[in-house]
This record gives sequence, structure tokens and C-alpha cells, in this order.
Amino acid sequence: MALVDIRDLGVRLRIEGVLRPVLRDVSLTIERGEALGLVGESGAGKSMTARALAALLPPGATASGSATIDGNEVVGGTRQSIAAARARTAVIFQDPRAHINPVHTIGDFLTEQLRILRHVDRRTASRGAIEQLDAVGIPDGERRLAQYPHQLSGGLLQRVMIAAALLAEPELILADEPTTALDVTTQSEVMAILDEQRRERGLAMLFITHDLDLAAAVCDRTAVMYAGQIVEAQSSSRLHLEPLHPYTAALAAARPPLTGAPVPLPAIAGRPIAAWETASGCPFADRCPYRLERCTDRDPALRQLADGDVRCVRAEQIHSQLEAASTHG
Amino acid sequence: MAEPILTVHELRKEFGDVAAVRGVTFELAAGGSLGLVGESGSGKTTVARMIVGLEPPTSGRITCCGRDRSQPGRSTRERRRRGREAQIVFQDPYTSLDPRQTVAQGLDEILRVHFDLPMAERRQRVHELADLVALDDRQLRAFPRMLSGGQRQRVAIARALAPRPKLLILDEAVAALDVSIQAQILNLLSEVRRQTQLSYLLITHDLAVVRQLTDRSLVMQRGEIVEQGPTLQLLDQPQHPYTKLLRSSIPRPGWKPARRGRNGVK
Repeated sequence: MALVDIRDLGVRLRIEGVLRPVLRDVSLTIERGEALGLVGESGAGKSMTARALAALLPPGATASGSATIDGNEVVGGTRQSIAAARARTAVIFQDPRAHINPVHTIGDFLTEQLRILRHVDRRTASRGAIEQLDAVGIPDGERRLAQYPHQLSGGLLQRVMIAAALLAEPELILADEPTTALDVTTQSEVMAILDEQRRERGLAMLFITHDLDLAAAVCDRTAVMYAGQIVEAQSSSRLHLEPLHPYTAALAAARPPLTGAPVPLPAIAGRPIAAWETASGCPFADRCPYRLERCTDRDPALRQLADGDVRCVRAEQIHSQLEAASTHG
Repeated sequence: MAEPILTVHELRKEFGDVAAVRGVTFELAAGGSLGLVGESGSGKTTVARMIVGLEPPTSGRITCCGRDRSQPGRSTRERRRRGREAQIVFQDPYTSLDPRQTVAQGLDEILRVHFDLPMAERRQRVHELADLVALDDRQLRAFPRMLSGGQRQRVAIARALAPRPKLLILDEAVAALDVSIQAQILNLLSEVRRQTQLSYLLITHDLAVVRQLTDRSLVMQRGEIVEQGPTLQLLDQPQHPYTKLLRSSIPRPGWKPARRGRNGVK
């Protein structure tokens, strides 16, 4: 059984007074010890998927379908099953400063859950915290425990967040754009630490990012979201070379290349849309260079192709063209 | 080489005990495009703020369009002239627009402040600017809150172009945009430069963006320039360890994140 099993997840939110869909028909699985990347642009539904899984949906949201962690139902589950799911999950957010209490020390933050949930005494908890800080590349843990969040840089604070996540001894890490606010050199280091610690401990991870290449570097598989749906999922190494969905290929090609002389970018016309803005048919159809009339007739279903899943009726026909498009640089 | 549009000489800025910019010297040729690359705390944004007059330098000289602007402009007339010469586009298109003005009203106001034009000519110019950044009539009549992030950044660029500046400073102007929208705005900026012969000073942390828009680049670290040269050469054969580190930190196909020693450079 997969550690995470999301089936036909739909979420509606009250937006401008109206209940509107933000996630539609999301299905995915994560095996034990597997890292899955969730990639897409703003409004695609990446964070909402993670929030549904952590049972942290905003007030007024309604969810349908099913999401389980180690068999414990989160969507409409009992309090006990949600608590059991949460006990197996640790969350790392984009902005650590918004999630660490500024008036408490790093030591309080790191030892709180051990002392309250596991009834560990203060000295043992502190020792555990210092070991964990060392594991995430903060060698002078004893000094750090006495410091306050404002005394640490963003990169250090995010490592403290990772240490806190690891201290909870989870089976699943939900990481929502954990390095987006960091400088590239710091991102590289923080990602290396997260990747290494996750592998060493055999943890599963749902890694949310807008960066296809970053997802590919640390995730076994990558799923691409558009307008509240998953449009493609397959192994990260193949996703880049052999994208199955036109949106994935377009997203890869739109990024300015790091080599060669600069040329006009193959930009995707229009803008990414939210789930509630979609008309009938494929939500990407308006921006898709491969669109046919039948694309707007009805919703394409997510189906298996090659070693992945894709939500595009023309996927077989345009496969070879997509490979060429995504490797322009 | 053409007469420089911008010359910065031994520029220094101290905030209390901290020297944010330490002896920065560079030139930007008229019609050229220069990238100022660095991470947070490198001093790149402080340099930009001093050039447009949002911060006075502690010492050093800034010359733009042949005139000194190292000291704050004394008269309104002088400050407006400086505004016509150099404009800036910021990162966040959500906070840099007046929420109570339509796009057209905002553009018209800029034209009224800077030029003595009859209404009909102003209206025509507003439409020219909208065309240049690909905004349609409906978007011209819209309030900022009705526009998407990419559209707002187009508005910010149109506003910066309205006074017909000689120099456009882009301070992380595409950093907050989605990938597909960022590609549109990068193409737009290349096209605008081709059409207007405008000079660009591009402030960014993103080496791929620098490659797309600039001829020459400077790399800043802790307030100092550590390397400079033609952009393609700088990116393809970086010499300074910090430039190398920046280059190798960017995720790309086949890339793996790397753990470093404690002092930054491997």
C-alpha cells in the first residue's frame, strides 16, 4: 500500500462570496521513501493539495474525494484518523519566519513537541535538538538553542525548520516551496541537506515548487499541475526529456536558457488560469499550440501513457514534437 | 565606445556601521545593457536606489546623461528632469501602482507632470505606450486590482517608459512572475530596447535573466564588484570563485544540489 493515496480530491473555496473549485479530480500516490515533486505556476493548486493532505484547508473550504496517509483518512476522516495522519507528517513552509514564534528561542521551538507530545525531559530534548541541528549543518547547536529567530538568517532558519521536521520522526515531509525565498547558493545548500537527510532516513516527501529542474534534482517522480488538475506525472528524469503534456513542454521551454546566445523565448500566450475560470474541455486548450476542436468538447481524463500519466487527448500524436520543443536550449 | 549614459565612480553607502556598498565603479554605454548580479545583501539594490535618488550616497560620484546626480536634487524642476532621464521598475507589481487610478489615468498623470502636451496628444501617447507593452483598451480602463501580476508589470513598464527616459533600471522586475509570464515580459523588454534604443541597468540574482537581456555584467558580493565582463563570457567562463558558485548553484537538467563548507565557497 502506498504511504500517500489521494483519490479524486476536489476542494472548493469561498472566493468573493461564491463557493468555487480550486482543485478538481486530483489523484496521486507516494510510496514509502519516495519523493514526489509537484510543479506548476501560481493558482495551479499545488499548495492546496498539500494543505488538504495536512488537513490544513482554509476555513470555509469543502473537500470531496479521499486522501489517506498510511491508511488514515484525512478528507472527512475522524479526529483520530486525522491525528494519526498528522503524527506521520511534518510540514516545511516557504517562509520560516512566519511559522516560528519570534518571542521564543530556537531551543523552545525545537524541543516543545518532544517535551509536550513525547514527554521527554528538557535535557534529553535539548540534546536531541543539538544532534539534529548538527545533521542539518548547524554545528554550534548549543549556542543556537539560546538564540531568537531574528538573530538567524533566512537560510539558517529554514535549516532549523528542517531540523524541527526531522525531530518529529515523520514518515512524510510536506515541503511547500521551502527554498523559494532563499538565494540560489543558499537554496542549493538547503536542498542538499533536505535531500540527504530524507534519503538517509527513508522518508517520503511531497515537494512543491515552480521550478521543474529543482524538482527533477531531488524527486523520483514529478507531477505537473494546471488549473487545479494534475496534467502529467512521470519519473523526473524522463519528464524533462520526454514530456507527455504540451503544458509541461511549454513550461520547460519558457525558462531562459543558461547556455547559448540569447534568442526570443518560446513564451506561452495568455496567463495561467485558476480551476474556477475553466470552461468545458481541456483547461490548457486556450494556450495550447496543438489544440484541436475536440480538445474543448469535453474534459480529458488522466490516463496512463508510456511510464507516466497524462491528461491530453492528443498525447500519443504530439509526443515526438513535444520532445523537440522542450529541449530548445 | 559611445559616450556613457551612466557613470558611477567609487560609490559608497554606509548604513550606521555597515558599509552596504564599498567603492563601486562602472560605466553604462548609451544604448547598452548592463547586468548587476548579486544575492541578498550584495548591495545591488542600494546602488540602484542611489542612482534614481532614493538614497543619498555616503561618498562617490554618479553621473547620468552628462550631469552629476551625487547629491539630492534641490528643486522640483531638477528632480523632474532626473525622473525623465532615469526610471525604475520594481519587483512587486502589486505594491507599486496606485489602486485608485485606472491604468490610463496613471499614464496620463505622468505625461502631464513631465510634458506640456494637449489632451489629444496625451491620449495618443497613452495608446502608443499601451501598444508597446501589449495592453489592450479594456486593460487601459482597468484598475490595478483587476489585472493579473503579469499585466501589472506591463503597466509598471509602460509607466516607466512614459517620460521617455534614457535609462531604465529594472530591479528584479521579472523575479516575482510565473515562468510563462516571465518569458513574455523578457521578450517584451528585449523588443522595447530594440525599438527605443533605451539603456538598461538590470538588477537581478538570476543569471539566466541576465543572459537574456544584457551585453555586459557585474557580479557583486558584500558591497563590492568581484567580477565583470561581457555577459556571455562571464557566464560561460566565470573566473571569480563566487561567480563560479553562483553559476553552479542554478538548478538545470542533471543538476544536484551541493553541500558546501561553512564559509560559502567550496
